[in-house]
Amino acid sequence: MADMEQLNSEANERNIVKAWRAWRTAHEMVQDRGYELAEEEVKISLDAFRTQYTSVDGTVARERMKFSARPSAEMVKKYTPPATPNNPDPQPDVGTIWVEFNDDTSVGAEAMRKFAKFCSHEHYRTGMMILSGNVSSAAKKEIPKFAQWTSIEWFLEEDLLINITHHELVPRHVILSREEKTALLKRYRLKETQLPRILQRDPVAKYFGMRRGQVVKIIRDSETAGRYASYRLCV
Amino acid sequence: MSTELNKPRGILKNKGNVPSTSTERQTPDPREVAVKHAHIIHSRRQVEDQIADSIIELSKFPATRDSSYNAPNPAPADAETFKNQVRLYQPSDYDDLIEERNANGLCGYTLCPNPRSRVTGGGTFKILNYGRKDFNIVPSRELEKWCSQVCAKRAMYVKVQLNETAAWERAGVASIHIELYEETRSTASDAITQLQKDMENMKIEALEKSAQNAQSLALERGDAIENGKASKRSMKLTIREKPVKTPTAPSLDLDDQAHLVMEGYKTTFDPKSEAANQNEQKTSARDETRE
Repeated sequence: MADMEQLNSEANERNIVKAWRAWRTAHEMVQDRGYELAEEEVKISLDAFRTQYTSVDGTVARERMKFSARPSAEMVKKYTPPATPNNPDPQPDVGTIWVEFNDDTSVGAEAMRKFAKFCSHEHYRTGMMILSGNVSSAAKKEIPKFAQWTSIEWFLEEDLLINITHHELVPRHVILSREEKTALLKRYRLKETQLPRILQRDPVAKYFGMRRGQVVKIIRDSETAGRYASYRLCV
Repeated sequence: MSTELNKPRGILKNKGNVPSTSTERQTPDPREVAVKHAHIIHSRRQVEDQIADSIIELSKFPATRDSSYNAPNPAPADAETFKNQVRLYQPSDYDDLIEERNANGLCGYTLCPNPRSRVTGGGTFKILNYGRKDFNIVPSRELEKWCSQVCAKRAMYVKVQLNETAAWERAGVASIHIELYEETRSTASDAITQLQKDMENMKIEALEKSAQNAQSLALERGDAIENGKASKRSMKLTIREKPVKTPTAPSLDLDDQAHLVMEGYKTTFDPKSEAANQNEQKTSARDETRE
């Protein structure tokens, strides 16, 4: 009996550590995209996480794990299209983000629809779901239906256990603003299609929430040149 | 410099002399065309949304949870809704429905109230019917979709009746009927009804085929098709029959040498050419001896 209890508590402990790591990576991701988050929110310690997000019986309370963040002024500026005579006061493409953890073993179309409806109703421009189970194909078809109001993204919790951008083999990625992109195309006399490409479902592109048409600057170390920058267009 | 001189001229021949009045009639208002196509896209979207809604609805079936009803004997109302809604599905939509039901923890067959089965033990594959004739190794993911093998059969029986064509093309067709596995079992004249159904399908297919053939023929002839009606051909056609002479069959009685004729042909030997052959052989033999 005592053995069983110990086994249970060990499994719980492992679960808590996993949830904590995913929670931290999610915060880092939101911060890296340019949203405003306090430093103590991002670098939450395991003990603080345990006191806040575990229920009485020692399991992780994922239904309590949710947060929202507002874009910083810098990010709003980056995502605002340039003013034109027709549209003198353009609205930025970004807004508040909503992040939610999910406990279900698999997410169906109904759960996805409920989440998307919630996000669009509360005027969140981006909704992020972090799941422990998989998403059914009918649920994936629900996402583009709400694209007009809110963009829904989902990640698997097991994919967020480590922050991939902190890996030593992943170079620094910087997303260019519209002005920087046009300057780049002008400088090298390029058309958009002449740039190398990066897929929207690329792990790093997903991490930064890249949209089609954005350009990312990849800065890597080079033995001969010191630093080497390359550019990729998201498709 | 006048701009007309610089204007590039087409090198292609003018395609027929189309009367100017008809061109005015043919070019429709671009706005009208755009609106028409927008309506078409809109209606397609509507059908897709309808299917997505029905997947969500059917993923929680059966609606009437009563112990007297089960998968082989579903509640009539449930069976009717299921058959009506699944009519529009493509096989891929049906797969989505099965996945969706499994996500809800139910058996993949829509009219089955049981929860899906869970295979005991790990491993991605499972051995079935060991030591028997129908022995099989099945991925356990496939096995976990259903509550039992009979339910898998029932679900697949519905799936094979579904059509691959897009849903909006079938939305108005009333002749599509989905049958359940048990329904056809109970009827005695199973084979006959099946045969009748097949015949009906064949008739429809033949009609479609002939229409298609007529259309492609019209296209080949250059008949423009306006609003589904073929227009009158503009060129004049006169059909002139060509006199055909039938070849005469070979006769066998060639001046008493019928026995030499083979398939109407009498082989002849040319003595001159034979002599020439022999000479050649002799000269070549001589050459060899010299060497």
